[in-house]
Amino acid sequence: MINNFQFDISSLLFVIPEIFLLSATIAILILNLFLTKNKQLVYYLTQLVLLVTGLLCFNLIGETKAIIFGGSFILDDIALIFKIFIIASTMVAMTYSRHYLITHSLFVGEYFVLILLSLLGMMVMVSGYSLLTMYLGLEILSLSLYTLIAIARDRTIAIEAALKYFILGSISSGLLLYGMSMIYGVTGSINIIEIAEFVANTGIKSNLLVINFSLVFLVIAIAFKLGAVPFHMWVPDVYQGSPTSVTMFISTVPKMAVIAILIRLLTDGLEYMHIYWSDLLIVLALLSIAIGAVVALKQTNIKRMLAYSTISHIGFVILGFVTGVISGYAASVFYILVYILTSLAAFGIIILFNKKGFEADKIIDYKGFSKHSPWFALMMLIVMLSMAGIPPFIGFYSKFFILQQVVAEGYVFVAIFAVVFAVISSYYYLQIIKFMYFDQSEKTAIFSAPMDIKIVVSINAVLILIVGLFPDFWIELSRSLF
Amino acid sequence: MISLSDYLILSAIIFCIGLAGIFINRANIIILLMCIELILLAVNTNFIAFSYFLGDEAGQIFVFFILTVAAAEVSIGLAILTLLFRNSGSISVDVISNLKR
Repeated sequence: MINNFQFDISSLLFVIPEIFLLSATIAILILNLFLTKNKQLVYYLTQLVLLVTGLLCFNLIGETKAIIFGGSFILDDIALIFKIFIIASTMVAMTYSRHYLITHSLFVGEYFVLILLSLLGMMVMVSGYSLLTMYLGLEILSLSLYTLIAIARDRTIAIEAALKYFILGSISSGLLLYGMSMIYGVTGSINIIEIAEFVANTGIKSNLLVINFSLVFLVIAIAFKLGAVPFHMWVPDVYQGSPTSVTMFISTVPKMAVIAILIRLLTDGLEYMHIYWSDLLIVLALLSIAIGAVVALKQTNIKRMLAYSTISHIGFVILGFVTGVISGYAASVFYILVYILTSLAAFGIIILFNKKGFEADKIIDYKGFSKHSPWFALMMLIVMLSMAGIPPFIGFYSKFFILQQVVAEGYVFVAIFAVVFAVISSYYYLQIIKFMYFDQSEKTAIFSAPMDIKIVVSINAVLILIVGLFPDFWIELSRSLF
Repeated sequence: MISLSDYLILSAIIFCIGLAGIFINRANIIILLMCIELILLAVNTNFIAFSYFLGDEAGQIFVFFILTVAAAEVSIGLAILTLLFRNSGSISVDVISNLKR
């Protein structure tokens, strides 16, 4: 593959967003050195860079599917829509972060540079079509995230979270690489297209054992990155220990990039191995849904509770891939989009509640929330009901489509199991609503948050309701990707 | 002539040593970093062996990238370790158990 690689200058057209993002990030990094007083400028520049990168991606919509750089980079609908969504969620996350960073004196220029770098990694992941580009994208993302957590240098729990994330992330990268090396050994190529061709033509017959062996490693590594049970040990600790703005970022955007890798590796590259990987995924999905629902019941820290809720949501996303049909994958993509929308709103409200020296990460902090700020209590109510999967909020439809596909493919008992645990998990979402509306608080909180975050949180939460009432566009969008 | 399977067995052994080292080790975190390096080196051995026996250069190019990433990874690991030592005065594995289980 390397020998017949021809460099075509026009292929650079398709990577303009990445090139722009990288150059702008380096420019901001240098500029940050000279801006000793006015760090606000770095924030606005970062938002501007995100906006421009998003527009550049938007500009590429409508281009035909292109596989460039010797087959290592792909630009199709999945890549473009994922990139635009990743950039948009990052912009929202940055808007929320600013208030948190200022109140907890973490407002440094490096934070924004690291966010931009991790965004670059995610864009490479989403577009990666060879094992090498996927791995490099994943590492750019992970290395930025480790550093991002450790940015709270004097908080012991943040350092501890960073170290745990680092160690477990490195193990999962090692497992991923080992699986990749085995795939390379069997197929003789690191290109997804050539791997898919090989597996379709000869693989199943002669090399089944080795491909299966590497498949296990790949699935474990992806499960590690997604935080699916039994590879979820890092999720609660990292969520609790990280600064809330970083938790918000880690829990939302990177999941989408990892899902992109899952789509490329399993459904594109190893499509013919579906009967083997769906068995692995079904175990991950059911365990995640069960453990995520049950263990969250006894949490007292809201970040930890949301961590287990994430695990349970990830279980549903994986369940969509178990079906092995295109409509199932579309349901999964729809679920992850909805999950990111809801999760961003939840963390946005937590951050809104933050004050100097007050983290607002205990569940009991939300007692009597509706008395002193009825509007945001209503927003939290929408978010929690949506996460619990109650109509007419969007969380209902995302669960519904997954279960519909799962039942259509004949996994009836799997669907029943998932529904039972979804009902159990609604307990802890409703518990927060109970605290907010029916309990009295001793202290009254005063919001010190600026207006922009209040507006964005409100839009974000109301969007959950509006999209829930008119879900057709998003469903069609996720169906059109495959 | 060393056969492909010899290389694969060697790399599997190194990989297992690395993985076992991470889970068994209770002494200090530097050993964890060394074990992560071992895992990556095992993978490199795999790639080079496959690349040689397949007569394909892509595997060797992959190894260069893994080496670069491993260097970046270990530098970040050591930086976080320095912060840990500054905060808690120790680099023992037992130090990192403050987060509630």
